[in-house]
Amino acid sequence: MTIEVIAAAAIFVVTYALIASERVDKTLAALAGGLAMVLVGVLDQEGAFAGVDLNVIFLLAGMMVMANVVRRTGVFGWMAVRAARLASADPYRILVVMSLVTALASAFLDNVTTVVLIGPVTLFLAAGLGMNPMPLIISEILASNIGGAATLIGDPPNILIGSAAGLDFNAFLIHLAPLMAILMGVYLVVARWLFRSQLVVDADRSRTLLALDERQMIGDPGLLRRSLIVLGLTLVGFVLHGPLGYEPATVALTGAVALMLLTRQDPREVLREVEWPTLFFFVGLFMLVTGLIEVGVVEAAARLVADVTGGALGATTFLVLWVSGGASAVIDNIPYAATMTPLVAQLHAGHGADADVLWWALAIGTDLGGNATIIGASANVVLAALSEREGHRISFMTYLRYGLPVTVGMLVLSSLYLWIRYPL
Amino acid sequence: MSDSPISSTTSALDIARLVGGTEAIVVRTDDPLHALAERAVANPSCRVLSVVDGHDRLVGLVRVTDLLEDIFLKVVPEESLGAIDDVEDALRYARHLGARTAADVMQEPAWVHADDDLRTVFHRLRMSGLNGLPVTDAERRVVAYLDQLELLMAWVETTGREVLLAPQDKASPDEPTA
Repeated sequence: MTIEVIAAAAIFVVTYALIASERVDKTLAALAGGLAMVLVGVLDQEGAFAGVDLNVIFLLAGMMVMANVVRRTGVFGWMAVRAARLASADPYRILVVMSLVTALASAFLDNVTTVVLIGPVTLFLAAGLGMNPMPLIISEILASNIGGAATLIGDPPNILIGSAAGLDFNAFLIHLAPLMAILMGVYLVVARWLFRSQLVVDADRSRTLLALDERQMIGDPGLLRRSLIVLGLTLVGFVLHGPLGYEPATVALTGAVALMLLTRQDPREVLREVEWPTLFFFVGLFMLVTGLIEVGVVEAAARLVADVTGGALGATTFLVLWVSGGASAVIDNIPYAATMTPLVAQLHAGHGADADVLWWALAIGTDLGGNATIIGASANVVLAALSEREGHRISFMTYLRYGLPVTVGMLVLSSLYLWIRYPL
Repeated sequence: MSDSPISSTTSALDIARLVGGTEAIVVRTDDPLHALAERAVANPSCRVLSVVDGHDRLVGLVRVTDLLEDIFLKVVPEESLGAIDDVEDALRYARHLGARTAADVMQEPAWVHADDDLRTVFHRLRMSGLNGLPVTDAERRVVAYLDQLELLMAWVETTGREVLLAPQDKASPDEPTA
């Protein structure tokens, strides 16, 4: 083992520990780790910067700009109120429609933006009906991670995986969306039993809900119209980007610029709201992981996995799925995915054309693992904080009682799906 | 300059007696929000409510504007929900939505002591950013209320500085007026 390998591994472990412990801001930790790879000579600057996947960075930036404009239209609040009114005052029906709206929105927007728009409506509905919001909040956490897993743009790990593997928007729709639809459907059936004693409302208060006027949620109908047109065209662009030979980042940036032009947004204001710390977090992670690849650690890890599974595609797939699910339950799934994509690329290279299933296993495990614990994903933390502020705390253990068995059940169903659908 | 008895050494309690007439609104921590609103409606010139504990000691303040916000978002929810577009907005909304009593909406207390002089009163008002402050005794029981606007107007009259609030004569002495 050379000094460079030891240095790279040590930098990686320390950076990961800092990110996981939250003792240092995660963006700073990742950037410091990436720069340390350069400063100790594991990488030169050119190599470090070449490791930054600009397709991921600009796809994220483009989607952030679009989310910033679209969320101002109030369309998701409108959908939530409209759906809740359609569900009348039936708490189970409200749980179903709010979960479906959350999953749908999460498939196209980042999960935190989705829950910021839908969570407050949920709390209002629960307060209006005199019910504990916990079943609704937990269902929306699960739905946001399930919905996010369904598309290329729904969850950052999918963006990382799609870019590293060259998998386009349609590939995610074809391979992951059907599974997520199944998982969502099964969960909604199970939820009726899971929360049977808590889905109780004060019937006298249902008029609060029925008096809501969803049209009031739309602040600027013109902005909404133009935003929906651009969003629709961007989705068409994502569907066609593979056949047309464009990268997803080109589609996202085109959509973002078109949206700012058509809606006459001040770019300084919109760009100020782009989550720059998240983008630099990715930059740091890319540099960090490039260092590991450079010194051969990733290749050695791939060989180790191949030894453990005997090189069998099925065993490797399930190992990737379950390890990813477990890891993402307790650590941030973005650095995890950033680390695992080059590893899975190595494993993929050893298996040939049918090995795309490894990528799907990584995406499923990474995206759904976050459902197991209240800290498993940012959307979970935000929704739990909203509920606590409103006076209904969801403790770590309370969430775990629901989240862990549901996640294990989902990973079992996912294993079945992969086993049936792919030649393992 | 008027003959106002207010000077920079006048105590807060004396100032309250001299300028105001605005009675302090004192509520309990467990009083419901609608009771707070009723008290505020009955005494609209008091813009900051004092919240006291079981021993009548000041433990918090509620601005009437915050109270209005709480009531507003419950009775016109679409307006508030439609305006949420980031995590801070959402958290603020959730806190307001869950508020039921004075304890849920009150902020940290600020006050002036009955013996504090005018300079201290002005300083505390500015630092608190509130429209008014309760005046308390040594046990931190509320004995009066000082409204910022009433206090300022009394001070303006006392010092004869009304002229500073009047429109300026724009014409320069060198320019002949028509």
